[in-house]
Amino acid sequence: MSVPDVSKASPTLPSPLETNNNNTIENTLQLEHSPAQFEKNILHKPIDDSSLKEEYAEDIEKSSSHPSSPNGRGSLENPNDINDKIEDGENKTSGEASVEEEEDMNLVWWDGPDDPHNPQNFSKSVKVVTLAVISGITFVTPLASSMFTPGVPQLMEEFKSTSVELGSFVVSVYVLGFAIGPLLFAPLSEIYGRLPIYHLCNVGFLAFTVGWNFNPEQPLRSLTVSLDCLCTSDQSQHVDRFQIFGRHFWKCSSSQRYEVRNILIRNSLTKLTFKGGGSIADIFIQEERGVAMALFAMGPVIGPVSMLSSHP
Amino acid sequence: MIIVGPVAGGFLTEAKGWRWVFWLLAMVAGFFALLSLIFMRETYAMVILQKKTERLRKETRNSNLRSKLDSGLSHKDYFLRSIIRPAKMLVFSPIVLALSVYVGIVYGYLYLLFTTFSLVFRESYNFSTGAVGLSFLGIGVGSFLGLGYCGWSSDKLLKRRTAEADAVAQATGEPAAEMKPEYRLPPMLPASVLLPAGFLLYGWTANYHVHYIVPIMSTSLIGLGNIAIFMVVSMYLIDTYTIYAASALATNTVVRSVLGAILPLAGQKMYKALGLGWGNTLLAFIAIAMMPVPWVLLKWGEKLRKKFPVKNL
Repeated sequence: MSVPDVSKASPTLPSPLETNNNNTIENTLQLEHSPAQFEKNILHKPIDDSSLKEEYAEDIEKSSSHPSSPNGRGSLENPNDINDKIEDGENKTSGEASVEEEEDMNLVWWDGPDDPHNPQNFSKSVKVVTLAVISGITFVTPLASSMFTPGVPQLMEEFKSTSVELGSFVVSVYVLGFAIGPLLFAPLSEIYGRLPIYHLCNVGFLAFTVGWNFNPEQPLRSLTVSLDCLCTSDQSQHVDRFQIFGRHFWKCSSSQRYEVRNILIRNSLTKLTFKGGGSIADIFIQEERGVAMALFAMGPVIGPVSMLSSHP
Repeated sequence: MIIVGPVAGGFLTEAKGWRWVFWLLAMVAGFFALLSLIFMRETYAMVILQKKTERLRKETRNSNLRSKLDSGLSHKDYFLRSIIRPAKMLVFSPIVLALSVYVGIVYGYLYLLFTTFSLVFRESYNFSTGAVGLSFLGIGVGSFLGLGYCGWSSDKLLKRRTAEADAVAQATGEPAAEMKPEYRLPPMLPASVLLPAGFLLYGWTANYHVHYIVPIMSTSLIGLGNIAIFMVVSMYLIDTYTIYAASALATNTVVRSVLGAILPLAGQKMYKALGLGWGNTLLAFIAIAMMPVPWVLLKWGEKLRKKFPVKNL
């Protein structure tokens, strides 16, 4: 999924909350709808507010600022109010509304506002390094797709192929991965965490990139038979299936990265922007926000643009 | 930096062969993979809390413990929901369907150009492998301009239109006007015209072997139209579907990617059958047929949104 400048999206279309409060992909996205407005909400409350509360605060704010309800901001004045709503929401989904008290005791949460395990409390250096590494990875991806195109004729000559479809397909199959990435890896990263998915895809990307450079005709052919549907254009071609297979999955992993990176940057952005919380840190927040925003803006620039424009 | 890819790739291929492109990529990717292995930490709060919960469950032997961020959905449900909602949106929301197809075609065109550039500029203009990379510059420059144009105009227009609607509302004593997603659409109107215009220019100038700079500059119109359409549609979908924006964008991505992979397959054969002039004219005609989409949405988008809500999907 490529999200050009989500942060600029209009915040003013209120949507019904319903039971969707638990969908983190979309909450994360929604969060980004209006950093400014969001921050306003956050600053109303003590710093130890969790990301969940923030998300809910946003939800509540959204629903209550609907034109039809005049006292838009009322529910945010008291943080306990939000707490109640969170409990309500959770109980609703797990169907345990009757045991609210007991439930509270069993909830696992951060150890206070400064819990170093809370990603929002990661040190600044950790955040910066994380952003830098992800930006680097994401830069390679579109570069990878664009660098190869001028070499296609050479590749086709080497494998003695004259199929024009195949010549086009070795480039465009890369895009098919983009169809699979957001559907497959985004939810997986929400279930198993970003890190394992990153590592998995890094290894996949590397393996398939290197895989291109070997002629795997003999040993790997059996692996790829099931993927014949990918290259029905000409059964007799010498360009090996594995290469199409490899390219296909290669893109898949990179698309996932782009996706995960966006989510992660969104998270980091929230963290950077709202970490301080209190009004004391206004200046630092402003500065940090600039940097984070710039990095965030690189998302659309490096991702879709270089993919679309430079791309091939 | 955006232009670096094909240019560097072209010259690298010429000097060292296509395998070296992949070796270079593998080295850079390996470097970053290593860095991420060393420096990256889990950043997703839900998963961190889940692990903590599991640890505490073992330590305290209290199996009732659960993470405060637990969604209550099983992995399978969560996964299925993420996959099914985009599909439903495609079927039940005409806005998502129309825009996905439009962006899909535009995106497919781009890949069609990418996969035929080497052929066109090698055969018609005798470019070397290295120089072929330079033929992508037109699209790169156009996209850059399109990005600037969208970034510059989109928020401005949104604010201005909202202010105008607000003024009208105040004059008539109605409640303050809201920002409508439709206010995002205007930059798409010139873009939808530039795209076919670019194809016509590119096609016929290349057909008659006009100096190579002319078709390359024509492709910058295509790049500009392309990126503007792409960005406006994404912003419009985000604004329209708010908390379901992720699903709407996923739908868009899937359709776009499938068309992006398939359309180029027809490219070279089409050019062989129709020639560069009429081939590109055909592409332009299809793009012209899609031109009403932004106009219709500008006029009836609000009605359509309300008639086909996606909240229950």
